[in-house]
Amino acid sequence: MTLAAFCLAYAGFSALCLGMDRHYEDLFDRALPRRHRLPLRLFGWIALALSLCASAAVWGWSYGTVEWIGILSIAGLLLIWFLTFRPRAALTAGGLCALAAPVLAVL
Amino acid sequence: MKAKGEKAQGEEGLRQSMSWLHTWSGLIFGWVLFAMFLTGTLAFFRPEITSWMQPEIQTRPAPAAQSVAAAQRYLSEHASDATRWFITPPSDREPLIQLLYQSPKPKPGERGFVRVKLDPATGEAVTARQTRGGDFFYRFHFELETAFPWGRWLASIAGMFMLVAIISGVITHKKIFTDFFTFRPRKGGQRAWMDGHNALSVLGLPFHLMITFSGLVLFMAMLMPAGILAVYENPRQYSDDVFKAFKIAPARNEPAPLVPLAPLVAQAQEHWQGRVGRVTVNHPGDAGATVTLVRDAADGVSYGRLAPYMRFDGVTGALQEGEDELSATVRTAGVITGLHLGLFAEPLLRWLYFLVSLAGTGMVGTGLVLWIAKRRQKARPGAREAFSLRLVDALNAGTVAGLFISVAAFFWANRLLPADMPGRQLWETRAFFAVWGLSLVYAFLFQHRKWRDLLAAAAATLALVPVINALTTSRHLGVSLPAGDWVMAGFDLTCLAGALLLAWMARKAARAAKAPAKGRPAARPVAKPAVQQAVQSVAQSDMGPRQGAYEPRGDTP
Repeated sequence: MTLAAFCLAYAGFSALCLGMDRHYEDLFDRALPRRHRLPLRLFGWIALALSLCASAAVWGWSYGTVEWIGILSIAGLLLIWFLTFRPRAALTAGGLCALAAPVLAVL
Repeated sequence: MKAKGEKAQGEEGLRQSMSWLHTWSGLIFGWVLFAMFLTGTLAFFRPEITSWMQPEIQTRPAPAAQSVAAAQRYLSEHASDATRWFITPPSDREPLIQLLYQSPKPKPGERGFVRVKLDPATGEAVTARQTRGGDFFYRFHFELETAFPWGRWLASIAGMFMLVAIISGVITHKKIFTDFFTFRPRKGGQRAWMDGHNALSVLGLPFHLMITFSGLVLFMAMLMPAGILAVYENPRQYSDDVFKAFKIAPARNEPAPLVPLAPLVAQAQEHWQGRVGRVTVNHPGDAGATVTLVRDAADGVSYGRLAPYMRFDGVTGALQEGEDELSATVRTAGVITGLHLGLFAEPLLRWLYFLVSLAGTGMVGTGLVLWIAKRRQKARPGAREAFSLRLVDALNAGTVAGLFISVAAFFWANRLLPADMPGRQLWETRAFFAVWGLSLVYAFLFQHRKWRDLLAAAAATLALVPVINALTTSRHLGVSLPAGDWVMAGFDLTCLAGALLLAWMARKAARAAKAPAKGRPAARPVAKPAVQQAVQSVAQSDMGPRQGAYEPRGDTP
């Protein structure tokens, strides 16, 4: 479940990142279509919120929130690192995290 | 039109002034802050580092009640006349029983505290090599190895500068959301460092802000005593009121036997459904003795400094007073200080603490390098570098890279000094400071290769820590990994990971040092006096790690 929280945070950040013009262009060499922007950002924020819920479900709200903030920081820094040196892998990892999160949450 | 223009100007004015504030508040205490961040990061693993530094001790924790009974046996035999006993039962992180007692007649100038560690299995004092272990990093983090109270004041002032730097940094940062995921190392120079600095700062911002603010709150009573002095007649009354668990009742000077402690511990565990973190006995053997049990800091986020407690009569064992539900104010203060200490954190969260705190260390480090990068970018190419720049750059390299070598040297000394050497813990500390000093000297002497060399030295010394461990003890990676001894294995693996990171940085630094000289031959006029040319090549190759060539336009103020 903690792993699910991490995956959700990473997937959420990836989606938010893709929802920004600069990073979308960097990855796909074309402008971010307007109809993609809202879903990406919506998905991103929902994933981050779910990540908090997942963390709180394991650890309780006070401990879970602290853990969630730590998870967010690490997931974000990891994403930036990947994005810079392995942009394709960053995207794949984001997709895999999004897929893995519900599985991990059920387990 | 005019009003709008004025507003924009005023806004820029605020940004500009905040940028100035950020630059200078960050620089002045930058090196102290870097050291505080790095040692503080290590201090999250304080007991684990101590365990690694005393490899002779191999024991398993025993239940608290049983351990406290063993402690009582030992103390009534060895310290029956002490004014106070402090007993810390073993935990998952600290397998030993820790005792501290205050002898009634200390030597002049001493406070008379004696520390003993007991093996919970035998109830006997353990003998191991003398070392300060993780306590060194913990103490250095807020006392800077300076006499009380000056070190604490210095650390607090540095902390205040940090708080100013964080807040002014947030205001200065123009595009906090647009640049959220941006890191462009290929752009080189100031831009790359700025991106890195921003990423490390913004992503870890909740932690950085929390750790800086809560660090100051921990020293609140020292830093802002006015409120306490206005309400209380003396500071003792204040601490009795706030830290009730530490309250001391006077002795009655009539001998009376002390109640067995173990049943009280069992009673408290039952009552709290939690762990007992510390047992304090005041005036053991006196009719006025009291026994105070405090709940373990690992049991709750807010219990780091202010935890529930129970106080018993030391003769009859009757419950005198206690507090389970702390008031909202106390709990708020408890959460703030508890978050800083991180004692509540389970292994996973402790690693997150460690990593984000490392990002904070990186934030300070990149900030320091950025100061140089910004000024180099503005300087005319080929001009002789100002003394101030060389000074700051040398201090940067000597501290940012040098401190990692000092940490490794501290661990080396722990393994290489003879185990029975008198005062060896002093020499461990001396090794730390001597190596830091040597790094600074090296950084001043070898201007253009200091970054590469010091980072490479840091990587090498840190990578050799597990090797030296393997040569001097029987608890190396080959043994600790199969045995699942995660304290020893984790320490060695962390050293290796740190060495890898530093080696990567050293490689980048070496490349950056070569790049400008190779990349811009045309910029250098051919017919120049040899001396001037030499000076110029020094100035060019000495551009810090990952430094690009001169860029005439910088897009930051």
